[in-house]
Amino acid sequence: MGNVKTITSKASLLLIGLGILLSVTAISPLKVHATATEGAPSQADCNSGSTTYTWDGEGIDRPVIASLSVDGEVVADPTSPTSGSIGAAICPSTEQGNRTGLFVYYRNGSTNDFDLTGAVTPDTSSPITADSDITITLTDMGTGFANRYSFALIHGDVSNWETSNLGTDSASVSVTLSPVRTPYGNGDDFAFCTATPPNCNANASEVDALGASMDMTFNESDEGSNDFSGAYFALTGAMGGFVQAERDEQGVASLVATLGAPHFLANGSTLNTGSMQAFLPDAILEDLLELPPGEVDTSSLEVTRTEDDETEEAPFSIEAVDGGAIVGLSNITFSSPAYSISRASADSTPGLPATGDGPLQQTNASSWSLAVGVVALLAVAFVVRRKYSSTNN
Amino acid sequence: MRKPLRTYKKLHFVVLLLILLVLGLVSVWLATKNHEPNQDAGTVNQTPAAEPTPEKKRYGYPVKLKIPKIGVDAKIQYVGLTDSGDLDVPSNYTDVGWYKLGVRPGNPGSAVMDGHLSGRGGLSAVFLNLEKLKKDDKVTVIDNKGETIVFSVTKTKKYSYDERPDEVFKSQSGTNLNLITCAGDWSAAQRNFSKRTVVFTTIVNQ
Repeated sequence: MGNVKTITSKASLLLIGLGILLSVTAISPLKVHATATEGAPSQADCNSGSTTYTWDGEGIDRPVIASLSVDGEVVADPTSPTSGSIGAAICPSTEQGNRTGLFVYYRNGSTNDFDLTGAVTPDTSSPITADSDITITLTDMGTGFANRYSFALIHGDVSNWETSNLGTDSASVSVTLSPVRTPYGNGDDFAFCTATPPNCNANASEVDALGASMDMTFNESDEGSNDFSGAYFALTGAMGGFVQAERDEQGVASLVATLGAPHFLANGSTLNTGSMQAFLPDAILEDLLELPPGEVDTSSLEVTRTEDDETEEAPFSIEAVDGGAIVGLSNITFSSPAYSISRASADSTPGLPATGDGPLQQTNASSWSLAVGVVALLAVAFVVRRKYSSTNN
Repeated sequence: MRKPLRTYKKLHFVVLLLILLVLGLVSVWLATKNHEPNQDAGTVNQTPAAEPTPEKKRYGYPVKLKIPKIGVDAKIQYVGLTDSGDLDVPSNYTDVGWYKLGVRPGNPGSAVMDGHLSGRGGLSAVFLNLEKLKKDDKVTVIDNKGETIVFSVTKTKKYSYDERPDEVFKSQSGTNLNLITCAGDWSAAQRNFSKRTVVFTTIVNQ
């Protein structure tokens, strides 16, 4: 039974750590490890071992971790790292693999830890910190049942993002990110922090880890075009997140990101404030949000925050980048705020425009015409009268 | 020999008289004609908008507006709202402005464009002759995908300059393009015309 407990706990931690979108009942509160961040599964676990869903068990192909490096130092075997190094694993989160998690862990002795604190770079043994750049390349992103990679929810600070061949079996993603503070917890209070959408009731995290992971969404083959293809949503301070497109009665689309995390850090007194950087490719801006090309500024979008049935405008930034724009939200407080990004709209019917800058030229011309006409007619009358006068005389 | 001279003078007099008469009549007619747009303050050409039709195609963003009847072939700027909540205007007198917070031309709902009637010093502008459009006249929009969207005029209506007509901006019935420009009398003090002309059009091709 001890083995079973360990297996269940690994699955639970994986789900919590990745913010993956499963029923909470599947998550066990059993605590086998010393901290909430220990017990990250290896790639072997995800292939055919101990996770709830496995690639072999479900009979689906998996994306390939083609390379992993940190601060330019290459991790020789990222799926089987040596102690002290970082490694990575990619695991299905659903039976079909349409949600898949990639996470980076710290191989600490015989334990895999989601918390990268203490890990070092492979060549120079430099400490991995929040300033480290971890670069991961994933290939073969068209997983089993013809699911195709679409977008990612990332726990990390992204500095480079490249995608290619999206919508095909050979789609690939290359991302460079820095690990960020990520809350972890095992208790019941944390269970809904990674639900879909999150509904987090945790007061404080058990561990504020230095984490790096990606929750990837894959489309089913018959799902058609995806609203968020090529996008990423990079989070700090959140345990889980869920992104979806919504349309109001007028058909106006919005992109809604619901985030879940405890109110406070592990010390129980410091407010947990997070951030989100959303990269939205041009296709999303123009086709979903209906933002005209080149109209990337804060006046073109509006962002609201809804929590506990209260909605308010949320400050945000937007920056045009190659291929799209990055929308930034900061000072996010939790437990489960929903941020809605949509095209700016007028609160009320606009007033009619002032499309004249001066009296019409024709008005002046017509005055002259009238004057000339009157003079001419007077002249005619005068001449006729004179003629008649001279004739009578 | 005096008789031909008198005949010549008489003929000269008649020709001069006719010229003056024609000049006078033409001038008065021109003067009257140029004032016509300022006299109407009501609805003209009241034809009901076309029945809404189901839309499938999604058009791109407008880049060009063509109205052959009045010689319009204009680039399209994207305009929002002024600080006072009025539709903003293009930055020059030759382009038209598309209301970027509204509907795209060709997509369901009412897209709105505006253009200047006149420029500083009384220069004519892109929508100088907008009021000459009549029912069934054609208006064409080219989008950034190269698609051509054809609209047909359904009616023309005038509003006071300070109105906020829902039917212009928010009508969800059909696929429409509404064109706005100034009309009425020029107030030098307010630097504004007293009215606005709106030409309502509805889509022809789907």
